[in-house]
Parts: sequence; structure tokens; C-alpha cells
Amino acid sequence: MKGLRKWSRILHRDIGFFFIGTSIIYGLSGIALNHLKDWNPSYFVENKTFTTDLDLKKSANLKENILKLLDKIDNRENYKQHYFPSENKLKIFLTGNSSVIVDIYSGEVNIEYLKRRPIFYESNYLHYNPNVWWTWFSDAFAFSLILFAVTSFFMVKGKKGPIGRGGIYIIAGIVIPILFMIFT
Amino acid sequence: MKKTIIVLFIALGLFSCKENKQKTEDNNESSVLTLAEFDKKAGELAGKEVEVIGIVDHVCKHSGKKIFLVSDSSNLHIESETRFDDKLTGEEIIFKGIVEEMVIDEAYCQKLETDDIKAHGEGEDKEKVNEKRKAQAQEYRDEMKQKGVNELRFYSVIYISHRKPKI
Repeated sequence: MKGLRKWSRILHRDIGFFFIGTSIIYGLSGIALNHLKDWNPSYFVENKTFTTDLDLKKSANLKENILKLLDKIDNRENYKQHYFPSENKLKIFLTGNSSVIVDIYSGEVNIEYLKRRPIFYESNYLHYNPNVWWTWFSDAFAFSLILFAVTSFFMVKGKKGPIGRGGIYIIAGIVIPILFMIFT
Repeated sequence: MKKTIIVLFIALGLFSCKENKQKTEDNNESSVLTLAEFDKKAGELAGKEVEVIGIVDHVCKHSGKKIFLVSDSSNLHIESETRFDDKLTGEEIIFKGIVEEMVIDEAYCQKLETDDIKAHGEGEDKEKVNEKRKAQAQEYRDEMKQKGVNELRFYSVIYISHRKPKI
């Protein structure tokens, strides 16, 4: 039992150190993605609306008129592409994932500027499992979480251990998700 | 303590800045289909390799593994096992991939209504997701009724590689 306690502490401590960064990444992105309804966790979003009298219907001058519009609202250098998603709508793509949607009949222009949220963008990117290498690494992290749970049983003995106060926490931590499963 | 913070930032930098390198190729463009051409031929292309050109309207903000490819008259989903670089948004791109056919019929609609699958958008209530799925099933039924058919066929492309068209 003494050896088990010793090794539980060593593994819990050292693997814990190794996964500090990964824990922060998953913690931050977990909170961010839990609240997708309330915000865009990866981008700052700014919307602006105004009207234009430029003719943006399909014609030979369309590209030039789009660039004139961009001179007014942004910068023509940021133009990427455009297309008509519907009969009356023109969508213009700008660099940095920003875009402009124009009602070509009413002249109403909606601009959506996007800017990456530092740290959150990167954390969310990793949270969504970008490739097979990250899958392996995050599997190792997930396995280590199980290891942390198991080793925590043996780290402390006595009143503060799983037979004493620690046991109450263990039961509470198991009961809460079960209650959620039952009542939601 | 300082070392831990430095290692953390280095790790974040290394992993975060490295977008997954999707495969790019340099081929001729004579066999490349526009989305309108794809729409016309999709039925006979199921299971075959194609190249299609369109503008990337957006990369799925959840998984990053789906692209919504558009043109003035059509649109198409490109699906990948790995994440797309969201810098592709707004670019005109040629995608190579295998055409996948999806058949929607009454059995599918019933499965859609009754299956208890995971919410696509995190943070959405289970009830809202179920409502959306029921509404989607009803839309399919309405479309089948309107067209007088027993099934609908949708096509997407399973990603192999991409490249920019030569100007």
C-alpha cells in the first residue's frame, strides 16, 4: 500500500505538470464553447449597416463598383471575391474572413468585421481536434484524466482521504452528474 | 515557475499557429466542373472522383471539417476528416474529392425525428435541437410531396485535395 501511495503521488504530480498547458487549453475552450449561444468564442464580431447608391446589379461595371464601395467602407485592397447568394443579395468577401452583404435593390449594406480572439481562437481550434496527431495527444490527455482520478484514491490516507472527507467529495462528484442525467 | 509559463506559451504557439496542411495539387483545369455543371451531373457521379470549382462561403465554425462552396446558382458541401484552414473563406478554389450521395426518404425522416443524437451546436437545449430536427424532417416531407417523389437525393464531396485555379 505504501508503494502504491508513493507511485500514485509521483504519477499524479509529474503527469499533472506535463498536462498543465493542455488542461488550460481545454478549460478555456470548454467555457468558451459552452456559451456559443451568447458569443462568438473565436472571433470579435463588429456589424455596421448603411446604404449606398452605387449600382451593384450584375453588369460589366460590377467589379469596379464593388471596389468603389470598398473604398468608402473599408479598403479595396481587402477584396477577395463576390457572388450573388440570391436574386437581390450580393456577398463580398474581404480578407480576414470579414464580409459585406448588399441588398442590390434597396442599397442596404451590412458589413461584418471579424477579428480573431487571441488565445481563445487557438484553444478552440485545438478543442475541435484539428488532425490525427492532436487526436493522439488529446487521447493521452484524456487517459491521464482517468489516471488522475484513480491515483487520487491512494494519495492521501486518514480523515482527509477517500475513507473520510475525501469520500464525501467523491460521492458528491459522482451523484451530481447522475442527477443531471435523471432530471434533464 | 517562469519555465512552466514559457513552456506553456511555446506549446500554445506551436500547436495553435500550425493549421493542418491540406493537400494542394497542380493539375490542368479542363475537367473541372462548375457547381452548376456538378448539379446537373451529380446523379451519375456518385462514388466517382471529381474536381469542382467554387467560392468558399464559409468553413464550418464548429468542426472546421466542412466547407460550404458556392456560386451564383448553386452550392455544395465539401467534407473532410481533417480541419480546413479558415483562411480559405472567400477564395475561389478547385476541390478534388469523391462524390457522396445521401438519400432522404420517409424512413430517414422518422429516424431524424426519433434519434437522440448529439446537438450540433454546443450550448443548444436538447428540446431546441429536437424541434429543429423535426422541422427539418417536415421540410424534407414537404419537398417530397411538392416534387411528387418518395425520396430526395443530396450530394456532397469527400475531400481529397484542393488548389487555386490558374488565373
